[in-house]
Amino acid sequence: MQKISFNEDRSAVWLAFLFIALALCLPLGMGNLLGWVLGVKVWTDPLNALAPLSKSFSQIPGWISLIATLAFIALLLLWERRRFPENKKAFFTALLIVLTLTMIGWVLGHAGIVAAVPNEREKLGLKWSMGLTGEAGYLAALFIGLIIGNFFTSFAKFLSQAARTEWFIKTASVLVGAGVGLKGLEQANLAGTVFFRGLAAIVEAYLIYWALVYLMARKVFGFSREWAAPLASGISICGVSAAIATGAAIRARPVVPIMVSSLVVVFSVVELLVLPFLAHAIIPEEPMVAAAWMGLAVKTDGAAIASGAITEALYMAQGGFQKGWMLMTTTTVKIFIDLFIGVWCFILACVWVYGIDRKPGEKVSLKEVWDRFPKFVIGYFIAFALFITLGICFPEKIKELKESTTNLDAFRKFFFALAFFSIGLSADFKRLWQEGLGKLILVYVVCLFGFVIWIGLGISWLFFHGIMPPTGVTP
Amino acid sequence: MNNPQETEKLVDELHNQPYEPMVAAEIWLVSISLFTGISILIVLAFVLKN
Repeated sequence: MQKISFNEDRSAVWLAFLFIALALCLPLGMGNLLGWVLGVKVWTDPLNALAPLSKSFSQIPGWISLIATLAFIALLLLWERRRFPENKKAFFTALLIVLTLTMIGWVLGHAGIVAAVPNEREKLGLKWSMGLTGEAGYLAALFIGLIIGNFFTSFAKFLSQAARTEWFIKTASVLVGAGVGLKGLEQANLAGTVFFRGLAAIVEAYLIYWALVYLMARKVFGFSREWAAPLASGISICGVSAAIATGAAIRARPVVPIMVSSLVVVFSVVELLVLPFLAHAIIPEEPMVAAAWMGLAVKTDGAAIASGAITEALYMAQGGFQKGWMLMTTTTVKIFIDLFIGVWCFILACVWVYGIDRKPGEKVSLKEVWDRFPKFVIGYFIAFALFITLGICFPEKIKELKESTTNLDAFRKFFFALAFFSIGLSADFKRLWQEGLGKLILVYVVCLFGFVIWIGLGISWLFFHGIMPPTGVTP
Repeated sequence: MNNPQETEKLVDELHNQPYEPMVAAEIWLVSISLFTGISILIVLAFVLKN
């Protein structure tokens, strides 16, 4: 396995906390310092794709927000690399190109024909779309990286100095903690049944699915630990973030979780297009069971929430139920699962450091444990705890805290996209997909359709059987 | 930059994963997860139904 640079790990944590500090100026009453960051929307007209994320900056044209976002990230990354003995001018030029090409991929991935999910088509005036959600931006960034890596090798060599996959992955992973902390707090006041279903979803995803998928990948398909752990997280938990964070926690080579994540994004489309209709066909009298099932079975947040919306539309057409209950159930289940990515990465990092990477008879000192332990996992925890504590202590500031996490989420997504671009640049991904994907797909299909969705359906039935959303006009 | 040797290694790995027997830590992780998971689900279902 690749040795991870300690500095890169530590630098990612500092960088993420710099973003967090700037974002927290909003609830502290010091202004929305990150509200100008670019938000990319699913588009049919490219002129409408770009706009500042915050409404208070809506007077700024999208292209200014775009330039400001790229320049801000470039300067921060350059500042973080200030002590490294490289050619600063060349590094900065390469970095700007990497950022720009990744952004092009990210925006192209939001094209309506690629990203729009079925319930968005009407609004966008589309008859058909691939339904990949905005996460198609990751695949588009990967694709651009691939083209450069395979056809423009000297240019790729120049860019590789700024394409620091692990740096990007770990920075984004710390930022995940902030958003998840606040979302968890928002769900804490839900109705008892939904709350219990959320708790059950955590247990299912982490303790049952993960263990079963890991066991299948290791024993039946013969995958090594480095492949089996990110694969288990990608299939069981929540796709991209989980697979990438797990890969980093067990010190897998970055290409491993990125391959798993790209598979998860593609497969979530199949789930999105099939599961809501399957649920409606086999359990037409159980809308809440179906909604909870979507949150558990459909990977990636975007696809899960879209399938919740489709499920709600299907059931509302027959039952006259109030709008929002089914979607809320799907979202709650999904968010509860997301909440524990950091805890799970912490557990896996401990198991790997103490139980797997340690040689027989070797005594690992506390200092070594600290050196080997991925610091971004600690960063994730601090971010998670910080936002949940602020939400509890200052409930009147929830709106501002939420806006802060929305700003951070824009950076988180872009840093993940940078990681996909960097992997495309460094690996012959086309060959890997052609020759290596078959076995990964087989594990995915066997686990997902073999037991993940059926256990999910069974337990959703157990918790929601007979419970109906309120009927009548939505208040 | 594209590294053909690394790609070859990865492709080979995907076709013929190196034999890596499960060690005690992995077996414990999987066993404890499954046992705890099933137990908690039974308790949660019991609490909810009562």
